[in-house]
Amino acid sequence: MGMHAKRRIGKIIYHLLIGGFGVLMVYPIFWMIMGAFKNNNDILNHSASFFPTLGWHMENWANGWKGYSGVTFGTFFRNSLIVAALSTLGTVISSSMVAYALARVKFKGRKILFWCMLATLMLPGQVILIPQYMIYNSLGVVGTYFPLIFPHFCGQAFFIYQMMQFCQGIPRELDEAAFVDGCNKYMIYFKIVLPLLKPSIITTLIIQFYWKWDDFMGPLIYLSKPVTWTASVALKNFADASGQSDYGALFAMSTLSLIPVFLIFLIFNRQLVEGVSSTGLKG
Amino acid sequence: MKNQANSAVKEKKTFRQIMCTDNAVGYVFAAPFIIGFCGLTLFPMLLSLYYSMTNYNFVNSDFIGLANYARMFFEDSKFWYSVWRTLIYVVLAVPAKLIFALLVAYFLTRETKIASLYRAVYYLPSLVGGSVAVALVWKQMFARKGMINSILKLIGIGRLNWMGDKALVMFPLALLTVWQFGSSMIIFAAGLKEIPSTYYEAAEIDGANAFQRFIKITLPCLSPVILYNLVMQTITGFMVFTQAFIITQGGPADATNFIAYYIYNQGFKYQDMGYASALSWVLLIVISAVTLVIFKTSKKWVFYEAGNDD
Amino acid sequence: MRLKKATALAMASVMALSLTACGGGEKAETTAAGGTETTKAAEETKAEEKKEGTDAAEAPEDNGGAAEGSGTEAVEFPAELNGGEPCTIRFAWWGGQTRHERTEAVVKMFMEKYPNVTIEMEPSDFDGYFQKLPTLIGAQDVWDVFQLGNNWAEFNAVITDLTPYIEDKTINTDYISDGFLATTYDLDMQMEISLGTNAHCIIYNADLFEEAGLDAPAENWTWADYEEYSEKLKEVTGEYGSSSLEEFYGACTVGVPQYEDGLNFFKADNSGLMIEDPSYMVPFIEMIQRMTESGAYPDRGALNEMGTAPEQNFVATGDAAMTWALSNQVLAMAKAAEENGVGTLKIATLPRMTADGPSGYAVKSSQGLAIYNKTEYPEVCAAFINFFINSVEANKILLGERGVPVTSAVRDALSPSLTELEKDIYNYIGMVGGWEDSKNVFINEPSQQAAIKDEFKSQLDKVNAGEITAQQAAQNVFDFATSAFSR
Repeated sequence: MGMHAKRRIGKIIYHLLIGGFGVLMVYPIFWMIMGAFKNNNDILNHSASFFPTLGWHMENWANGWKGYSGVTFGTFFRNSLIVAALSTLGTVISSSMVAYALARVKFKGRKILFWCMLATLMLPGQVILIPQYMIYNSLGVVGTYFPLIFPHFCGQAFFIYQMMQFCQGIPRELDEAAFVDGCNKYMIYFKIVLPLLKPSIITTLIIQFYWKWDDFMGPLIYLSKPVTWTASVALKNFADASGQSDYGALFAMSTLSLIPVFLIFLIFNRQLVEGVSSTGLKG
Repeated sequence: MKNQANSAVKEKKTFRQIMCTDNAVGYVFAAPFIIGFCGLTLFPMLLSLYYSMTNYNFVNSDFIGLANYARMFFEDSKFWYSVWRTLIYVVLAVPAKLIFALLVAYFLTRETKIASLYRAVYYLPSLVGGSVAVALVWKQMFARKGMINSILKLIGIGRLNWMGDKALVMFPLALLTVWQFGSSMIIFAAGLKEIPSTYYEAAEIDGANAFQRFIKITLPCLSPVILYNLVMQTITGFMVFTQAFIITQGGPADATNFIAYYIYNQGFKYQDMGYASALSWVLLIVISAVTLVIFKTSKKWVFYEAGNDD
Repeated sequence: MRLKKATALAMASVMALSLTACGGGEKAETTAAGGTETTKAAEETKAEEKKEGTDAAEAPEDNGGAAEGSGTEAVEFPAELNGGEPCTIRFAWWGGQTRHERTEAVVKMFMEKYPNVTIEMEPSDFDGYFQKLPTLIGAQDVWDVFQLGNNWAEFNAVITDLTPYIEDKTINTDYISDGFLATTYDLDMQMEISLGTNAHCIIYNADLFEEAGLDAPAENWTWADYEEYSEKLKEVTGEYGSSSLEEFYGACTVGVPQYEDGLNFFKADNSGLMIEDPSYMVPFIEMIQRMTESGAYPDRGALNEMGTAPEQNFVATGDAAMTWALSNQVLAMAKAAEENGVGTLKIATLPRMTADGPSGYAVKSSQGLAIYNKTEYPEVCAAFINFFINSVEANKILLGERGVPVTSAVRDALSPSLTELEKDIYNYIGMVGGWEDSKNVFINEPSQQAAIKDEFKSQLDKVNAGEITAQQAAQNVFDFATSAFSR
């Protein structure tokens, strides 16, 4: 009985700690959501208050949704969805291939390739922006989604390296067994590596989808007409540094913008917990 | 005769054989990256290296040798100060973020519904990203009369000038990074999922307590993922830009004038792309050096299940 | 050129003044300080007389109609562009939702008039705009028509000189005074056509001034007055006396000309500093230091919290009773102040160094439209600019949101519907332009200014943190600027 009570108290403390801290974590988010019902004055001058103090301003949602040049946020969200979904697809396919090659196949020059890959993360994007723009411009694809999506079909260093680390966790004996069974190295990728990389792939899905959803610089540079804008670019226009800003509308649309990425997380989140207690891969 | 037969066999198998060699398989699978790197990245990188030896201002680019590098080493104390401030930021933010992400992943990777809910709650802040909305929210949280200061006042500490004091300003920015720890957490969670439960069961039978199990099993098994997160977060930490750009504009007194922000200003605001390119290449060397050090030390603490093939 | 600009500027302003003075839009008063006016007309004081004399005769027949606001255009637009052949031009600007909506409506109006012309609109916010523009310049893919502020020195390598289009009347400047044209003439080029003029000003809360027992600032009030007022106003607001100052301008580009008529911070040809001694900057830095310490002026943390958007300014939120601003920001601030119920905002002159000293500033262009020098259709672009600045119908949609419109016909058409505050702004622009000393103030912005401005801000922070003295800060800024110009 005493043991039971002790466990119970332990549990209560666990929930108090984790739950309490969780509230602290999400407070700014809910403050932002509440901001979608406030006017500018309320947001800027009564920031310690959670609920609106100067009335509930429902018009923020309509003002925000109507967007620019007759293009509503419905279009912006659709564009974001296209870009984010295709980019994520490309990232998963290409990065898992490259990761397999770098982690599992001993070919000439892979060390150099590995460092080239890391180097792409180490140079500030701004200094290679102009030559890259020139390449896309000479291909005649500026203004389309091509420059935003295509690079992701060439592998993304952040995820290649992640999948490499997860590949390291897959025992080589599995490859060898498969090899004896007549699988060549191509089949090993499909039959062994890809299925066993599932947690890593799901991680990539969640993170990359959200990154591309949130990406601002790429769409800013390569998209021009409002009808092609992604939500991230459209949102920035609510807070123009030189003139009038509509923070209520900004918060309202930022709140809506959270929904798709949060849904993606909720859907795939389960896959990451499920089966922890089942027999591990390496057993 | 024998020789002929041999070579015939060889020839017959050539294509399949060649395609099945390690080299061929490697290049086929690495092809997306090789194509992308050579087609989209290599030329821009080399061009920026060339620009670093010119006075490129988007219109003209006269070759000036190593003058940009001389300028940064002998004249530009602002740059070295920005390197120093970036280093402080990395040291503050990266370990805190990783430890927090690991703990949350460890304690919340349970099958229970409530753990799932907690995880969603903790992940939510990471989804708002580096947008203007979050910059505004964060500014207001740390405002003169914002939430943080209201709490500090309640407990008798009084208001602090978070964004105006050189000694304090790093904390809101580092905290923002730690707050958005979600991607690291998910990667840790995926790594934890890979650890076979039989290991834990065996340890439990041996009488190891939870803490011992964490130290003896979780950490070593997770070490490749820890290395990965450490390397990536260090690199992205050195690249920190958005916070300085949308929250502090580098101030006060250059306290948050991070390298990437300084490079951006040199290039896009002051129209000195040649100098910005030179600074970028020095940044690349600095980050490579740090990464190399991490890799070297990692040999001592990272354990690969599949064996280290180096 | 400097002289031409200055004389004409002064003249333009007198006209702007007289324009709003007559208010109701009587057509006889319509100004036509047009391009035909000779530049040597030094008798600005006689401008009134001149206007009624020669210029009225030169003005197009139908300008009276515009003044009456009957809907007819003052300027005749060509019936067809580009020979009726289809063409596409790209047009970009920065701004917020309001500006986007109004600008788009005008572009649509233009495209209806010329169905063969397609204008691809690229609106964006300020930060995004200046991230994208350098990229496009580097890639030689700049928009055909684009908005620019006074920072053309950074971009002049890609700008078309508009002089030929003004000469052949593709851009009709009959209703634009030489003075207003000159606000965007620099480095021997007509860089852009201004979409609106503005000037530095102080915006103050009249109700809070009254509460503190202070009179409205006199036209020639001084920084000492300003400091004294701030200390008193601090008590009334319970927070700050004054909100943000344009610190760099205050100490440098406006502050230096206040010492002596004809002295400037930068040289007119953008080649370096005109001052040879950093101590010019010291009194202003010291003033900010004193006021920050006493709490009459916000420190960097509070300023950062406030941001740069006009409606966020402390004067609009009631945390301060006055602020330095640009005259085209007054409306946004006043609207926000009214919504926040903090009082009535009014416009006043900037303080001076001494009551009988020079003002230190002049009327300038807030934004203008420039043409890319590699555009395929320069004539179409010029015709578009012509429509944008001259069309009364278009400007009835734009409503002077970018500043006081430069063409007199448009101003006349808008004047019946002006609010009191808008009239005050028009009068203010007229007054500043009329000042004798303002013609010797340079409004050029060398490409090095952005870096020097940032350095100034950082040095000022160090002074406020007690790390260095104002004298040292001034010396550091001076040295930084000198080395920036030597590269």
